[in-house]
Amino acid sequence: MNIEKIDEPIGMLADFSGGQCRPVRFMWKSRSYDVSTVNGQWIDREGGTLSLHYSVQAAGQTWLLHLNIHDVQWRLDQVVV
Amino acid sequence: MKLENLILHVDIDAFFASVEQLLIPALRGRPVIVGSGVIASCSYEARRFGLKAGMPLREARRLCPRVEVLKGDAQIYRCFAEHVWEVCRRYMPALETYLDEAYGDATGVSVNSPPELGEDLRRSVAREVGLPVSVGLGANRMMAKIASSAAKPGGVKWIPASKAREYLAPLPVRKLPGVGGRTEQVLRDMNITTIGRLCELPRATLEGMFGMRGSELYDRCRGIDDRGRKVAAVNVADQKSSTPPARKPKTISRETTFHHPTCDAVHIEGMLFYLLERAMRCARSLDLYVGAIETRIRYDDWKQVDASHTLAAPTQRDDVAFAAARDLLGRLYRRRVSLRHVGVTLSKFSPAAMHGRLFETAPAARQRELCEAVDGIRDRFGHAAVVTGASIDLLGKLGRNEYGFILRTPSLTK
Repeated sequence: MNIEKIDEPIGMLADFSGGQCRPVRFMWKSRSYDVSTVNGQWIDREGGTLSLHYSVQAAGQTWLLHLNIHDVQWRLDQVVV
Repeated sequence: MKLENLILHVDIDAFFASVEQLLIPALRGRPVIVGSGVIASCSYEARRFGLKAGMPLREARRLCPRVEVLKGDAQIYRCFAEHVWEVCRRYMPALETYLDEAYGDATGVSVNSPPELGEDLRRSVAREVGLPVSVGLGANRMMAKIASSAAKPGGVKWIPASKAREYLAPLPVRKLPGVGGRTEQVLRDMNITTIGRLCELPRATLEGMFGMRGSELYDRCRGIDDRGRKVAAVNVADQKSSTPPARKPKTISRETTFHHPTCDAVHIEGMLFYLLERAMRCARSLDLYVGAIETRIRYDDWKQVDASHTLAAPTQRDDVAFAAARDLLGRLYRRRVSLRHVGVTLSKFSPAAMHGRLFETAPAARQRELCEAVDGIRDRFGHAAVVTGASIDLLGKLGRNEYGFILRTPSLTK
């Protein structure tokens, strides 16, 4: 197992119904990835900002990404290969 | 039904390893350890190979060559812990949280049965957070903690007050809080290995053997535990407690292992200062004055020494505390061997309300105000927003995130 740090902005299609946010599909390096499962999620409130973090399964791999509520920007943090 | 005394102990099973297994499905069902240098947390699959917290990674890899080793991320674990405690707070009016465990007071809460309450809580955490927890229920903290240990992993156990003594009787004496290696050896020399046998000794005998602690042992082996009978809403692991604590901790510790054993005095002092200022910030956030400081070091050959110093007057100032800690370090570090571990413990706390400022000198007041101002910045922008004192030496040598320097053992990067 190899964890690669990415830390790049991504485009995201997310479902905000029911007062919750759920990643559905993201675009990274001109390629689209459908999220099949959300493995886990957590909220980070440190340092005066709020960010929603997710671990998702897409294209057979595990991806760690987050939404920064302050600047409404999605970023891809890591991919587990 | 409403119970007169119902304390819950909630323990997140194999916390760090469980978070990693939740986030990375490929790790599920596999032996996983989190740590750097030594094991901070290991999954139950890894424990089957004899792996346990505190074991050096070299030894762990020898026992289980296919184990997956992860460095871990304290920031993520802290967020998950807070999520678990949020769920717990729905079930108990008062919750006292630590890094991976919490005590809750459900006295007076209307429940069908205590095990049902525990099971409901366990299921809610599993459903909403995805982590396994063990829940112990008892008439006091000690019995709740013993119950949760028996319920591991992922179970619920209730020990009614009426059955506490009967339950404890066959257990080994080391299961009692306050019974360490030395006490256990003394009791074993008297052929006392179980709690039931310990109950046969009169209070006076135990007091004669162990002093005040003997009297506590007399009560505890009968399932009676007066330590903090009431659970207060306080977060002891966190520096920032939003609720004023009704019960103060007895000690606050911060310690870490160096990334590489070192004999660089400046680096060691830098780390000591960093750990101390984190501990002092925690004490200030709880409105406590520190009366005594202990410094602890471990050499590269695993020999450990420690020493403590009672301050002339309790303080909330980093500079006063660091002067004492550095003095202790100078007295302890006598061998020409690199250090692998350093730690500090603050104790003998007294509430801030006991300490007037009428006779405070102007320089002392400025130092105290400086500490409070730095705390304010860190509360708002994260601990890493300001690097002060001797810890400046750590800049460029250790990685940083908004929580501060990234230490080697994530479990200790509080």
